[in-house]
Amino acid sequence: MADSIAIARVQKELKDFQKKGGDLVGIRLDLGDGSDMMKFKGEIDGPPDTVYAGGKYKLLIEIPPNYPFSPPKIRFTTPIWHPNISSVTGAICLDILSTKWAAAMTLRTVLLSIQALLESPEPDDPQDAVVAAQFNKNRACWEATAKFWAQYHASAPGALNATYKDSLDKVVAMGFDKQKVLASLSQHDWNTENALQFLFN
Amino acid sequence: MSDSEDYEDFGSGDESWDDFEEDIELDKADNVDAIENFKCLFISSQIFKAKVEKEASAFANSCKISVSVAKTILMKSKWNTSTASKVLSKSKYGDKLVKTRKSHCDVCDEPRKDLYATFCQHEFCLDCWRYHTRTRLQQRSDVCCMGHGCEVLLTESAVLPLVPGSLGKKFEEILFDCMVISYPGVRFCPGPDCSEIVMALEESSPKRVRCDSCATEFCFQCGLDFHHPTECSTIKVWLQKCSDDSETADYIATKTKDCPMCSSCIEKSGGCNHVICGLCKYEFCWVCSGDWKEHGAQYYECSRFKEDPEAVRAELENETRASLSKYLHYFQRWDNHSRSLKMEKVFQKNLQEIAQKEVQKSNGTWIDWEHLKRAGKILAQCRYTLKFTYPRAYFMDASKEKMLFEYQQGILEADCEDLAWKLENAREFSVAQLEQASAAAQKSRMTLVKSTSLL
Ligand SMILES: [Zn+2]
Ligand SMILES: [Zn+2]
Ligand SMILES: [Zn+2]
Ligand SMILES: [Zn+2]
Repeated sequence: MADSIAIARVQKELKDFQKKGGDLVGIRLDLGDGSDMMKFKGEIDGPPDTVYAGGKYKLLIEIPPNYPFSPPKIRFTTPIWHPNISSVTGAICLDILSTKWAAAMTLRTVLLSIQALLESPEPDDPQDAVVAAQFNKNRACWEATAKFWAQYHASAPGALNATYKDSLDKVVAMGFDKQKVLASLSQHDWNTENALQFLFN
Repeated sequence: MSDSEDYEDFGSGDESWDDFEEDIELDKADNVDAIENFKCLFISSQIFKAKVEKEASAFANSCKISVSVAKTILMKSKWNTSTASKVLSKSKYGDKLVKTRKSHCDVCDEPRKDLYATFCQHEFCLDCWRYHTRTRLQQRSDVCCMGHGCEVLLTESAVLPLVPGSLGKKFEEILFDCMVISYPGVRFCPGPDCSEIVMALEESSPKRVRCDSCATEFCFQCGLDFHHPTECSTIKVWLQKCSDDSETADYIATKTKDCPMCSSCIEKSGGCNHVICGLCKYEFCWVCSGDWKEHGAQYYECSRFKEDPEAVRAELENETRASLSKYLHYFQRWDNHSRSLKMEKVFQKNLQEIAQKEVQKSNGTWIDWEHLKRAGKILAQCRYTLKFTYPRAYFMDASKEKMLFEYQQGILEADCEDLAWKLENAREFSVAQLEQASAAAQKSRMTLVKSTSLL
């Protein structure tokens, strides 16, 4: 019964989404062939004037059977360096996706909230402790790293930071997986020695 | 009291043999009773319900709010009315849903005629309110308004009409449990299927309560078995330790691990956490036992917040042998008293039956048997106390205090075993000898109980 409410609500939301359009505000919903109404993709643009500017971030959206009385499950599938988003799983720490969810909210409001989270991280309520620590202690490094990830993973424009790219290439040349190397370097404030030690363990 | 009255009492037989409270005047004379037994009152759920309803309506009247809101707020403020007044000014509660004139529900996005809202004016259709309430109750969370960013919470009187049937009943039960838990100095009897409520007549402490209705004995503070001279937090850790027997498992886990796929035992040779089972070739992570193939993405989650697992493990391995034998030392003694208590309970029951027959056959008077029964009760008390000295000793740091404690424990052990021996071979000892052994054991127990309750 609740299942049919969920499907009806999602259908209406999608229709409404198409009518209002999301491209202007940089959010999109992608139903694929429309066969699965309970699991589909979303995309948000990195907000301008942030380290994520110009990046395109893909999200996986799953609708629970008792939607809208329970919140949708959403995670990033494009890797992102952000204190409230896991750099490993893409899980998002956002109150409206858990305790502060209200049935009157829509996917549109949720996507806009996630976009707002990219604009203003909340390091005091971290999802990724390592990123949050870097954000608090070494802001310059955090900014450069977040930007590097945006260019590397989310096709944000601009040339990659030359020093970082150099370090990355050097370690990758030793035979490690590129994604793992980037993660390890980022976690260790781009200290090659520490990153390598971590990779060897 | 005549012999026949005593016999009647004895013959009833149903009561557990260890209802010794009234029997042992020695305890009372020396105040051990006050040290061990908690002063309290037993009341039924109905009486407690009536009591809180009365308090809630008094508070409701004084604040000009509904009883339902009063109850919710009193629960949140531990039934302290001055805290409750402060909570009231800060929070928003909806105690009823009222029909409104709007004709579109924002949740199901349908035109509807049955729209309802609390004072916050967030209107939704009845079906949506029902689904929402059911979802929240199933998740055991507060029922809030469905409005975007709205912080209004629905109270009992607004929620109940939305959930008829079994879920509504369950909600009422949960609400009652919360009421009991939130009420200071009140707790449920932890006995199985017992709904008796215990009200403290003194400040909460880890003393013994014996339920009026089901005879379960427990610690008032934590609800576990009465455990003096061990503290509540300590006994909890100890019982956990005993139940999962992790020490032994840890010892084995330091060097070997079972393959999560085929369960064959694997010995780790190098420092790498990527392990391949020699038998089934399954590849897994030594730290979390997860599939190595899926580990590419999750590897950081697995090891990031941990200290170097190798260093921790090496340290553990050296300490494990010593700590295991220490644990086993205390555990064996704890376990031994538990077993003895069980065996002696059977022995006492048999003794009762024998006594009954012998007295009927006029072989000796009731008095001859009474002293055996009394000695048995004292022995049980001593064993019970001794049993609970071992968790305390296990977690004590080496100190003068511990030395004194273990000295007293040793004396009680000796007296206890002496009494046990004389009781088991009662025919070879005189009444005087048995009484003497009982008195000695009782005295040692009191010394230990008193010296530990001062702390
Ligand atoms: Zn509705
Ligand atoms: Zn509201
Ligand atoms: Zn009971
Ligand atoms: Zn306790």
